[in-house]
Amino acid sequence: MARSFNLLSLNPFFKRTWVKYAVIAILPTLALFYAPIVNYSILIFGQKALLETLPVDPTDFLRGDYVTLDYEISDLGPFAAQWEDDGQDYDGGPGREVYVSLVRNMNKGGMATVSAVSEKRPSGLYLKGRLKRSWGGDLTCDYGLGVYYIPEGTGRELEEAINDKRVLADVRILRGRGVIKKLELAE
Amino acid sequence: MERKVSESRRKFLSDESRLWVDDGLISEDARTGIMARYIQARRFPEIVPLLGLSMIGLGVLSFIAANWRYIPALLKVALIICSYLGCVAGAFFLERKGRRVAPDMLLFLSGFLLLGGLALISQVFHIDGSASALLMTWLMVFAPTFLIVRNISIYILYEIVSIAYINVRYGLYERTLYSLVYSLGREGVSLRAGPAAPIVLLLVLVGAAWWICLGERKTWSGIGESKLKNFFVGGPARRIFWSNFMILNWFAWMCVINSRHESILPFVAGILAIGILIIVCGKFLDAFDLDWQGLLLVSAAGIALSFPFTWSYRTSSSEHEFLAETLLSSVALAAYLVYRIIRRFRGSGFTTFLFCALLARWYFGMFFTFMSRSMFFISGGVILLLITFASRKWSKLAAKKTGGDENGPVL
Repeated sequence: MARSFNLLSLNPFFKRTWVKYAVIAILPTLALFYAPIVNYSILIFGQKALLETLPVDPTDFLRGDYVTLDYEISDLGPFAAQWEDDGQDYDGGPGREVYVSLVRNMNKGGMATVSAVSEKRPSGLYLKGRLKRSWGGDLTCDYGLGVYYIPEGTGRELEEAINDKRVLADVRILRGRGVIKKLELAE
Repeated sequence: MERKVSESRRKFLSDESRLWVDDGLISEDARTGIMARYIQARRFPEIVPLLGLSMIGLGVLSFIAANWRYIPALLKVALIICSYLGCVAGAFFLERKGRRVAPDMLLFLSGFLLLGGLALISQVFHIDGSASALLMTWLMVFAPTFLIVRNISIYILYEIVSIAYINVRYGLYERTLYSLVYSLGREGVSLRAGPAAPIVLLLVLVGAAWWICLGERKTWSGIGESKLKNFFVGGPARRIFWSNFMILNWFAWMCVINSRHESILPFVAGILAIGILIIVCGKFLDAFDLDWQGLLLVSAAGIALSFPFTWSYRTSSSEHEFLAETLLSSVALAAYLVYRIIRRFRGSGFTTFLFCALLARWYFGMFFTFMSRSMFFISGGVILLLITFASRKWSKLAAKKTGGDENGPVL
């Protein structure tokens, strides 16, 4: 008995050229549109938060030069105590999803700092992240804001520029999801 | 009506028909008429210029990514999406016009554009994602193209990205390598038992490839007697490719070994690769369109270029050692080119591909760190196109000298 594995042989309808190309193009097109739509909506409608960062500069083969950013708000401090001994392995795989409430601290020039951590979605300004264990063994939170891409070859300049300055990330946040708009250098 | 056949089949027919003429079974005119009906099919190295074009495309994309900072992000996103959709739309219209090859080639290119586009979009929005997540996204959204089009170039691209994903995500090569080291009882190396996921993924991949390969067979009869044989050494292009791809995988394994402390392993991997070639190719050289000399030369060059000390010289400041590396690569290149000229470029397409992979390894090792990325890709693509151009030119010259044509052996 003749057997041939081909999606197009399942139904004569799929033998039409336009259907074939629609099937081919639909998923890639959705993938290409998804990130811009989500991120533009955050940049346009999101709330502004300034976050203090600690950059280093590696490079990515596919995506060019970037700085990796660590945030002061990643260190949850005493807020992390409730999950320290919950039996979860935070060293490998995605950790527990948490919501980190932020407040603008006027003593720190309007910088956002952590005010509470919860597994339930809070109101106000908050970021969604995942718990993970740092090299030092403490529980920290990963918000998916760890990289900032820069023009090729400018990593060294940025590194030198930030030697005596603080680097602040201007982040826009919508429903817990953040997008970095720009990096700012502050004295 | 003309029919395309492989080089080895055409050679077999040529030799046989010569005997028929000698035995008086057919006339010389009849033989010429028969041979004119069979033209040589395009060979595997057609992918080399395609890779060259793809590298130039990647170079242009990375140039945009690196330097086009004055263009608004929205326009960049629009360009990325339009270039992908334009490629697919071009393939659609060409297929509607009845073209057979060009649509598949455009879809192949769309795969590259999609991968580059996804990476660029994550760059535009500073999305913090791993390279493995990017590759997995591509594998998921490009799967319909891979399954529907069933073109050999797309198949190769998909399998290579699959293996790249597994390697990036799970460090499969390294883990397998250390398993091997451990099993050999080497001291000082501890085996970390990893999750079974990479092995399961590889098995799924192998199974999927096997299933797709079965589609080439017209009947199930005969498969039962030697499914394994069909998988490893079967006839049609995809089965041949998969067998070859396993060899390429071994080759890639050789290439990732780049540690001074594991100096013996490239040789072990090289010997295993040659062993697999012997077992897999054995009596099926014609079916594989491979030739022994090329395979051995490529394997030897692979071992030489993968030898850790060859590459570790790069980190030292000694000019002599740097020259030794360059010399070694150049000798391997010259030896291979001489071999190809002697064979009048009628040998294995796969060996050409392997050699280009070796060159790529050398090119990456030498230039990636200090060339701008866009220039790196563009000049790499130009080199591949020049190699193709030169090989065709020499092939034509050789054919002209012996009175044949570049599409097949001299009658």
